[in-house]
Amino acid sequence: MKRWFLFSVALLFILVTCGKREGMEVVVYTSTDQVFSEPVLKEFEKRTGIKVRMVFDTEETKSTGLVNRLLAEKDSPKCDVFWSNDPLRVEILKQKGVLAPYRSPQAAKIPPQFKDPEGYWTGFSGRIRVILVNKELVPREEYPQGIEDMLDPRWKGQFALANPLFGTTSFHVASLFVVWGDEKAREFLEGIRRNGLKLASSNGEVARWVALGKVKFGFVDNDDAFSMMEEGRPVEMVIPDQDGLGTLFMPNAVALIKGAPHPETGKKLIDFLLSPVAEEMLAKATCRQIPLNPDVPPPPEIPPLSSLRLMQVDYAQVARKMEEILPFLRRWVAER
Amino acid sequence: MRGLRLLLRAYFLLFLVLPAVAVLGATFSHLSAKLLTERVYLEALFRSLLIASLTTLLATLFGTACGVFVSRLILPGRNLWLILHTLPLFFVPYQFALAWSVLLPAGFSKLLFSPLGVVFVLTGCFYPLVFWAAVVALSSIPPEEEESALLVAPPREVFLRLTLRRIRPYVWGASLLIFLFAFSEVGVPTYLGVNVLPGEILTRFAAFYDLPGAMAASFPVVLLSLILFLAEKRVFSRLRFQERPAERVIVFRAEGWRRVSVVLFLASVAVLFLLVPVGVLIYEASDLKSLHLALSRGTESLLHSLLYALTAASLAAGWSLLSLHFLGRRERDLISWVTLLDFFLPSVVMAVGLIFLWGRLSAAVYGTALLLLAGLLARFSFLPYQGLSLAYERLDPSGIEAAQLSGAGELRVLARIVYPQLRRWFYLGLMLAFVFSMNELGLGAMLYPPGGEPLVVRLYTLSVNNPVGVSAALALLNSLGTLVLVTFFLRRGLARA
Repeated sequence: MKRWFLFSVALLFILVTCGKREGMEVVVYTSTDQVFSEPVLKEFEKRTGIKVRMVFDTEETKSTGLVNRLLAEKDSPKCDVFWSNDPLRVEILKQKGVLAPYRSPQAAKIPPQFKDPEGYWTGFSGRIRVILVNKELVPREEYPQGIEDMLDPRWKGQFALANPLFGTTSFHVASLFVVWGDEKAREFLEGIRRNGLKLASSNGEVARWVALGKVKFGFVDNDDAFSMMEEGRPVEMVIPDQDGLGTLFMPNAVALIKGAPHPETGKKLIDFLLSPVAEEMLAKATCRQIPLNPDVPPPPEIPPLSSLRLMQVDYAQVARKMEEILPFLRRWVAER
Repeated sequence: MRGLRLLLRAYFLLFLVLPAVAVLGATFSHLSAKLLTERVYLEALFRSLLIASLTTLLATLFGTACGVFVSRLILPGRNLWLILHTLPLFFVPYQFALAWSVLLPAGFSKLLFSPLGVVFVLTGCFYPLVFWAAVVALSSIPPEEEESALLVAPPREVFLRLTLRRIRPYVWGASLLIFLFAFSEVGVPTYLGVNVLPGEILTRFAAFYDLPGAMAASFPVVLLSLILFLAEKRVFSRLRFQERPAERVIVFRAEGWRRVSVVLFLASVAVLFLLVPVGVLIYEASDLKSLHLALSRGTESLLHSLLYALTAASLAAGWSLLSLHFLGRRERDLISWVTLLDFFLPSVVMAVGLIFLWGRLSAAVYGTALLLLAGLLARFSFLPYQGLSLAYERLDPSGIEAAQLSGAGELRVLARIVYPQLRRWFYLGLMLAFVFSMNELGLGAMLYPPGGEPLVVRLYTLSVNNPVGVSAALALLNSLGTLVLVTFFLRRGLARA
């Protein structure tokens, strides 16, 4: 019994002291998939000896979960760096006063449209929205080519989209509201609902549904598509709207938190994430992210960014629009 | 001893009373009728009830049948059947969902990714609870009762009228637990794309950090938990636990086609609910690359899991033992109620309640491993406490009184007289609290500290965009870690029993 008592006390001691280890460390919250972000953060740890303490978002609450946690912790921050998988969330955090400005020397080669003019966040490696098609269920000549194919009655009940309250789907939908205007975008959402949209909890789930033949096609990010292809699933990727609207490009974004417990190590991590090393790792990983630094070669499976037709959106405007349409989207999801 | 008693009461107040008060208070104070007009919410509630009911029904049927066959028939390899029908408990349910999703062809996947698929997976994970309830109940019936009945009635009638009636409270107790576990399960429905109420609460909270909204959404879950809690308390009061099983039990010989049918049935259940999914996981994890990736990505998380689970289990077991010996009967009764109530509150709701509580009480706890530890203690202190308390009540007081009269101190009495007699129950409680803590997803996902992710959460977050082989290897790593420690506890617990 004495041994049990000593054992319990030792365990408790380890548990408490592990959480309070002093020294070089940095706390990062990231909404980028763990399978892709973790190797990059481990590489930083290996190169600098700075311990990285990570918190990841779950797939179902992608992006929004950590943003709301950062807002809740605003007066007593626990996090140093937020690595977002899109620039919208950091723009929202900037507007709410959660971020501190930091201009990294590594950001010099990042094109200006992917950086906050006041230095609150900086973009790096990005993804595009794609259509994932089950090639066993759809002949190649009938592949959907754009987002408005979801309104076509021939696909009734055969396509999927992730919940537009979360993740990159929320970014995509908010961008449609900016590009098309509110009326057309609302009509579009009502139209796809009438056409039997299958609403998934996440892009990963959409990809799995397509791969398993539960639906014929769905909208996902290119990393979800490549994951299924690497698993050998019968799927193919179509880059949508190359004759019209263009596809949405979504860079990652990194920002320093105001009042961060470890600001100096936080800045070092930001420098690393914006460096060619990190962009190259993300380009070579299964996610095939497209680098923004012109010195880093893009993944061979995706056409260069310059040859793609992209949706022309202003991230700050989309961020504002997203907040504006949130009540509508919540209602739309609740009534689906 | 006053200091020790104070410490025991502080544990009770901080880790058991406050969380229950926070959850109940926050839920009832944020009640909103608006939720009842939301179609998605009502559908999720209805779906959760349907899944929990069907799972309970099927798991009770399978578990009772297997338990009766294994206990009451002379069959080849009895111990093997016991092991095969216990092992599913040591796997995280969504590991099996992962395995089935890999195995089934596209035609069946529509069925799997549906409420029926959730019922199927959960039935396979939870039927061992009823199986063991039946085995324990059957082994504790005094054989004289059945022997007397057999003199005047055929075996079939004795079984239906006497044996089944005697095991009914045990099976009921296990069924209620299954209903609760199935109702509050997050991992399997989320993985299979089925929107259920706990998933809705998790999303409402984790996505929007909307505490009032999440607590309001929790109301039906809390209400149902309270109803089940009262039902379980009633069932528990009817249980008559034996310190040791009856020395003899009645067994029957099955011959011919009956024997073959029973063996086939037991084997089919084991194949369907254990061997096939575990076989798929082993097959998927069998290439070196997956194993290497799983070890490099999972070892640190496995250590975190072991640390959390061992700390929570040993504190809960130690506190239970000390409380039973040092606190008065009234306090012990109160503890029994509160631990059961905390155990019945679903983990997602408990996690939201703890953030609500500790976010206000202490910034030193919020965002640290202590918050997760507090959650595990709140939910699982019940397991060692309840077992130990049933055994403690049956202790022969004469040994304790004799030691006290001869001047032995309270701690010495506990260590030399009480603990050796309760050792088996101590380790059983420790083991159960450990297994449940290792596999706890809801608390882990919502409360883990930065850099301190448990393996069960890592498996969940990595299941997206992760090669299936690596996920399968991680799942096996988690179960292996659990089984190694469980074997150790069992050996220690039974060493001198």
